[in-house]
Amino acid sequence: MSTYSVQSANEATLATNKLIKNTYILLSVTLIFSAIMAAVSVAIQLPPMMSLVCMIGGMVLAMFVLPRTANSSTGLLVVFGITGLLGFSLGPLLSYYLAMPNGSELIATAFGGTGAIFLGLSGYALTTRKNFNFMGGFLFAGFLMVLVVMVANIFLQIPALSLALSAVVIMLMAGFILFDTSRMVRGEETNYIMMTVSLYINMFNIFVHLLHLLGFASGDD
Amino acid sequence: MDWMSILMAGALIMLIIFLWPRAKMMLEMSAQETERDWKGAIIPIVAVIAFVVFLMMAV
Repeated sequence: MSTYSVQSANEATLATNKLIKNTYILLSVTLIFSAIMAAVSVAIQLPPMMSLVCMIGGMVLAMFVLPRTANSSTGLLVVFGITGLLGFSLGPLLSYYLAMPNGSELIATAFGGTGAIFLGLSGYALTTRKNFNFMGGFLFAGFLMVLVVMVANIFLQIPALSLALSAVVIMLMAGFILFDTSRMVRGEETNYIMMTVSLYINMFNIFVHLLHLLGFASGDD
Repeated sequence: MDWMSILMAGALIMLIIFLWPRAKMMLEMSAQETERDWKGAIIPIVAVIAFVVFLMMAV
């Protein structure tokens, strides 16, 4: 191997390590910020309608503003906007569970469980450095199907379907964590802002749906 | 049917429309991948399922 190729391989490794470090630092900070926003939302008793508006606002920022700002410092503000709005939107959901006798225990279990799932899957993808790109189409198609069924269930209101959807979303988000982390480790995604938002949304969905399943299992949902 | 349900359905439909081209692109990209280690992906996802079942039994 020539000196040039060794040098470029080292540079690529350094760039990947920097990306991983920046992503996890930003993810940690945004999670703390999001938790603070969720606590504020619970404290002020945010109405459900406002929660939905905040969630849609976060989605609009992630879909239309983030891709245009991800390569500039404005992107950081947009990340905090997205994670802040999504965290804030959790208020009514958390208030609903906190009103139950074991509500705080359920929330703590869902939070800890989400953290454990994320750490386990990220650790697996980081250490094995496997290529999970082949899963992309399957995950996106599966997620679209879930969204279609979710729309149908808004009108059908079938509790069993809602539980099944939560279980499927957790599996899909677990797959997305593997897929995203693998893209980051293999240098296929080079923007830590985009990567942070992807991983945050995966964790957000796991938390919400795990809480739903735990609520059902404890007999309160 | 209340306004919140209609708004939520609208937001989900907007998300489906937004994700549709990306899903099509990802399906095409996935089809080109030669390295397909399904076992390597299914094992951690099965572990997640087992963990969730454990949490559900524990609460």
